[in-house]
Amino acid sequence: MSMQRGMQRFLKNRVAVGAAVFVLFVCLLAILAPYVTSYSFEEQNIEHRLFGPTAEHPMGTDSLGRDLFSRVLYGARVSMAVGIATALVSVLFGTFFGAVSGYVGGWVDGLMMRVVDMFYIFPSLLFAVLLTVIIGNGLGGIVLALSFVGWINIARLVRGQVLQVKEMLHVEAARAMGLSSQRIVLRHVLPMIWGPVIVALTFQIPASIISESFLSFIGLGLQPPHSSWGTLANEGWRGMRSYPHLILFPGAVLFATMLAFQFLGDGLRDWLDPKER
Amino acid sequence: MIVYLFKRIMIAVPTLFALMTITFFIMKIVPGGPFDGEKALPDEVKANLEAKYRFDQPIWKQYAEYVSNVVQGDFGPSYRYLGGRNVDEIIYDSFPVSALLGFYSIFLSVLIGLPLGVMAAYRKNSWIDFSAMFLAIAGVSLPNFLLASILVLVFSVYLEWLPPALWEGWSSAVLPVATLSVRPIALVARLTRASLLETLNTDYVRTARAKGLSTFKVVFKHALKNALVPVVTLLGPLTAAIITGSFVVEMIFAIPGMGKHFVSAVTDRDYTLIMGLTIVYGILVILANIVVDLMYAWIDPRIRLQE
Repeated sequence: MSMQRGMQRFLKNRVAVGAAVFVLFVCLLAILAPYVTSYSFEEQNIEHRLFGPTAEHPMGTDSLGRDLFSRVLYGARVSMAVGIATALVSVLFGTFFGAVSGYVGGWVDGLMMRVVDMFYIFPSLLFAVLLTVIIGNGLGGIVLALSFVGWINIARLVRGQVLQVKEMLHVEAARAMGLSSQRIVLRHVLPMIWGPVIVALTFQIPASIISESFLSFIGLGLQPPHSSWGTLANEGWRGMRSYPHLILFPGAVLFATMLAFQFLGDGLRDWLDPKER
Repeated sequence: MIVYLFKRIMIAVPTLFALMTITFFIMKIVPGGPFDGEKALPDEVKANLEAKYRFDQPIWKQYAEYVSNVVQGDFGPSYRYLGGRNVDEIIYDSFPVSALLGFYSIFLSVLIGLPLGVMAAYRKNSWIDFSAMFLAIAGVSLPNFLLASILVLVFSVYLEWLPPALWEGWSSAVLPVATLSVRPIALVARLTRASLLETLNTDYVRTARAKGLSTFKVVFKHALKNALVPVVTLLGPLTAAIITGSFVVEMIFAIPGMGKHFVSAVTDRDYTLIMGLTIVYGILVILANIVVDLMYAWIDPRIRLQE
């Protein structure tokens, strides 16, 4: 019942609802890209090079005469897919790591937390860059490299939550009944903490999108023919002085989406993780 | 205090060693060497190059040699500058540039972020609070490259007030420092606000209020000092944020710092340079965290007693 009250509060939070609608809208545009725009993202038209925004090309065209709006839409597919996939992998692995560390405790916990601490103080994007050197910068490589960075915060969060839940009476009862640790964690501990985990997932998506755009911008992320918001920004930056629309449009769409995710995450936190407030 | 410092350093040494070992072996297992260019080199040339860079030796020998050289401050020759620039020379030249950039940003983030956070907490739920927190959220959501582009467009291209790139004189530092500082400012403002709000809820602050002090006195004389303690820990994350931020900022503004070298080293697969810079970054991050621990122990005696 507090669940419903939380949802009502979320629905009354206009900023959060607006943000959720915006995020859904961007996702929908990305999925329906071929139906939304009549240009493909790689169709070149030499006679239409470097147009500013016009009725035909709402965001103008790039140096090869490709429609920028279509490229931003198709870029949204890649950016969103990478962001969501990375967040999911991070959450899965982080939850596993944090739950084992927190539930088992003792020296196992100590050792696992030392590993987390070591990763935690090190600049995470530096790690991601080094990892792309090893596993390559295809789509899968980027997702893996960024997940390797993202799981750390989740592991810390889940461990903290598990430490609390583990002391609860129903878990003690389950232990007294002789259930296996695996079953207790899966059935009795993790279901108690899914709220904060969902909130962390919501914040992990924009963090991953922005990290991917960072990698792609400095030229170490996705390579052509893939294009994400980061690679578009990289292309745009080169011709920025004469044709600012090339970086401003992809950048603005990225920024707006990031803001929406932040506000959505804040709203979800009020709903699902009331302790935080 | 000295014992405490010693302990911290003793923990840092194996961490660094682990970092060095991991990066070394990672660079060795990566497919594709620095000499695999577009056209294949003649076999003799390749053999000569490999002999020069000790690739013909067994890996454990390469490792032992590398470690003993690094300990003596020699990071080996860069693969890219085959003419023989050493990695330590590159670091020696670029470190002061990046350090200055980073120092300015940390300074600026405290100078702006701290008052912003205090004002937001002092007038909670006022327009100052909302705009400060919006700024903090925007600071985390706004990608560096977009901010840098907007700043260059406005101040260099349209207004022509500041140079768009290069590292010559103070005026060329303004835009890069501004870009690099936005995220740290957001982090400092956010934490300061949260920490001050928490302190304002403690018993001793209530006592101070109860004895009739003005809100101003309560906040600035009693609460603020304790509220700033957690803010000290930000130095670690700030260092990390500035290191990764410098990759983009130095690239956009063509600043000859470590970040720019790191990005091009990765693109060019210049392994010795990547390893050298990673080790320097590791030292910086670990040092920042030691400083945080020391400041913490110095400010809050309870921590020192625990150890």
